[in-house]
Amino acid sequence: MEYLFILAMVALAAAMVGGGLLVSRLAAPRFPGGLKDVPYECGEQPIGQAWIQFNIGYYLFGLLFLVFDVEAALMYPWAVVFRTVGLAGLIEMGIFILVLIVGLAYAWRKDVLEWV
Amino acid sequence: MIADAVYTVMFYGFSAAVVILALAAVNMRQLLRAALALMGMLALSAALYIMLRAEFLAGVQILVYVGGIVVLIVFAIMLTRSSELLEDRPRTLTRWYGGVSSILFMLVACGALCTTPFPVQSDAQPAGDEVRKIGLALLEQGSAGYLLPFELISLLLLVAVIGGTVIARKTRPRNQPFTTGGDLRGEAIVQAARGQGDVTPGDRHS
Repeated sequence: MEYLFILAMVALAAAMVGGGLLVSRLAAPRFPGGLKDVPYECGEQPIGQAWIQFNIGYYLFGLLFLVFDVEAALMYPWAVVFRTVGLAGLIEMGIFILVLIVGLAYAWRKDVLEWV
Repeated sequence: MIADAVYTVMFYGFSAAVVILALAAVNMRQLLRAALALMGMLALSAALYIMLRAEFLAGVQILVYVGGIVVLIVFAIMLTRSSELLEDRPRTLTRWYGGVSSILFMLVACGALCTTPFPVQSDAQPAGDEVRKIGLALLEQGSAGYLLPFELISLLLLVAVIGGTVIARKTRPRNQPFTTGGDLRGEAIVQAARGQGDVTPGDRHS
């Protein structure tokens, strides 16, 4: 039941965004046509399509983020029981992190962390 | 009594929204919209987990799936070319493969769900204790624990990093200071502008 506040906040945020869009749709005058459908690119004329092929580096950075995201999620229950499990838990988590660091070192060695 | 009714309405509302968004994610032709529908579906299933008092699972769902995997999917979509995606009409044989394998997977999943006993506990679990239980089970060395799967997760993640690096790594071009990342027309324009000597690469996206 304590999550009702989160639900209320989500509803309020949706109402704010939707209300703003609704009011501007109702109140704003509409004169379509001309250059209004062109994507806004800091006042420049856009070149080509908006859907260009992105740098593969984004994907690799996302993959690395995901790996350490999962690691952080798994470290949380370990941190909660850290005093109970003691040294054995520390060693187990150490092995876990060591294996992941091998992956990070591999990616580093292969220039994935360099932005080309 | 009213709280129960609200709970029931919320449960069916979230469930219906999850099913609708999942269908949208599968059926939409625009891949980016499908990814957004998938993101909404995953976030709403986190809400269902919270209603089941599985807060840790809900947190992981938001952190890993909504924050990580969907972002990765969006990056993967942006790596493809739009023209390839628009021409990608699956052949009849491919449709059959997909249909048969999805039905088989659904049968396996339903069988696993139906044969697994889920003991109903009459006393409600006190909240806040779940993470401690998960941590103890994860690090327990005996046969009751999940230490081996826990360490295998790190190996799986290692495989993901190395595999992604091997497949996707670009060799670094040595004498090319600026790249638009495969946008060949844009690169040609930048090269042409650089030939005239009046445009610096930073000017295109200010």
